[in-house]
Amino acid sequence: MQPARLLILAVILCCLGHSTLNSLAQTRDEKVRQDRSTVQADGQWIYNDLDLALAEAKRDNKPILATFRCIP
Amino acid sequence: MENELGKWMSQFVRVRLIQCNSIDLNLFHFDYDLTFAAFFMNADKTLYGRYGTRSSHDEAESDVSIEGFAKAMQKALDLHRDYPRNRVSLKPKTAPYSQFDIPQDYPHLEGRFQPWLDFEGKVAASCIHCHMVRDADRRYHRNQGSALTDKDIYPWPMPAVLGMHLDPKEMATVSLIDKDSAADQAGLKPGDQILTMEGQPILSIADVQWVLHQSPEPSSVALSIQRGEDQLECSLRLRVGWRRGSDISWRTTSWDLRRMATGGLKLRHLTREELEQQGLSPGKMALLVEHVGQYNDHAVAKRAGFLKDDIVTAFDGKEDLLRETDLFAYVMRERPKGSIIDVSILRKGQRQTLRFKLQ
Repeated sequence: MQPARLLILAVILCCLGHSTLNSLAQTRDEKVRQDRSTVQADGQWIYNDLDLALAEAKRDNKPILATFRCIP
Repeated sequence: MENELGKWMSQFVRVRLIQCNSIDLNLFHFDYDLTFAAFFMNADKTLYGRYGTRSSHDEAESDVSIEGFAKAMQKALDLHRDYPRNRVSLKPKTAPYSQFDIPQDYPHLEGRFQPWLDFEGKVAASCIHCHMVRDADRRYHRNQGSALTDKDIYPWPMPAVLGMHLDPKEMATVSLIDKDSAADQAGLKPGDQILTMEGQPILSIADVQWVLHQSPEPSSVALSIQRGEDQLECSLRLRVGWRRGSDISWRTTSWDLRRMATGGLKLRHLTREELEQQGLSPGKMALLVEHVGQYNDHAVAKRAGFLKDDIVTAFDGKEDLLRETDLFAYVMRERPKGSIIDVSILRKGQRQTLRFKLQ
C-alpha cells in the first residue's frame, strides 16, 4: 500500500472509528449517526466539540489536533 | 510508521470536527476544497500549523503522506514546548477570512442552517460543508458587484506555481526546482528544507500555501532554509499575476463557478490530437463541452442551446482563454452578473454563436 494511502487510512480510521468499512448499505444519514456512535464509544477522539477539546488541552497543558473531515 | 503516528498523535488532545456550521472563520481559515484538513493549536487558539494539501481531483492522495503528517506533528509538539516564547512568530498563522465571523452570517447561508447538525432529522442536509464557505464568499462578492481578486480566484496556491515542488513525505523540503522559475531565481535547490517563511515556522506544505495565500502581489517572501549543515536566507519574488498559473478546475467550488461563468457547462481543453482532427490551432481557445447542467441555475447554458460535445472557440470575443480556469478567472474579474455573453462554438464542423446571461 502506498504511504499516502496509509495516511488516509490511518487518519480516517482514527477519525471515523472504522465506521465506514461496514456501512456501505446505509443511507448517508444513517452513516453519520453510526459514525458518531462509533467514535464516541471508542473514546479516542472528542467528537465535534471544540470547546471540550480546548478545556481538556488547557487542563492537561497539551496541544490540540483538530481535524476537519467531511461527514461520511 | 502507523505505530509512530499513533505515538505522536497520543500527545495531543484530539478532536474531530465534522461541520462548518458556526465555526470561527477567523481561526479555521483553510483551503475549503479539502476533504481532510488538520490544525495543530494551543488551548488559547494560537495555531502551530496546518496539515492537508490537495492539487488535483484524481490524485488527491499524492500531496500527503503518513511520514509528512508525523513530522508535522513532531514539529507542532516542539512548538508547544517552546510556547509562549515563540508566540510572536506564530501570530501571523491566523488572519480574518472575511468580514463575516461564521459561515451562517453569509447572506446565502443565513437562515438556512442551524448552529448544530440535526442528528434526529436529515443530518447530512443540515451540514454546512467546507466548500460551501468559499462558495458563499464568492457569491457574496459577485452579488455585491465586486470583481474577484486573484487571491479569491486562485486560493491556497501550490508552491509548484512558483517552480518549487515539495516532497509530501517531508514537512517542506524541495524535491524539484523548475528552471528559470521564481524559486530558481531565489536560489532554492532540491534538498533545501524550508524552516520559516516570513518568520513563521513551517510544518507542512499547507503552511507554505498559507503564507503564499496571504501574500500580496507584487511582493517578496523571506525564507529561512536548511541546506545540509548550513542555514541560509533567501527571498522569493512574487510578481503581479503569479497565481494565474494555478489550475482551479479540479476544485469542488468550481461547480459554482460553472454556474456563474458558463451557465452550467463543464469544459476541458482539447488534446493535441483532437485539435488536429478539428483543424484547430493549439494557441487558440478550444474547450470541449463535457457536461451541460440540467437543472435550475445550472441549466442556463442548456436553455441557451448548448449541447454536449460542442467546442467553444471564443467567449465574449476572446480566443485566448485556453483553459476552463482561464475562462472562470476572466468572468470573475471582468464580467459582472447580468452581462450578456456571445459564445462561438463548433458543432459537428459547423460554426454557430449562442448567447446567455451571466449569473
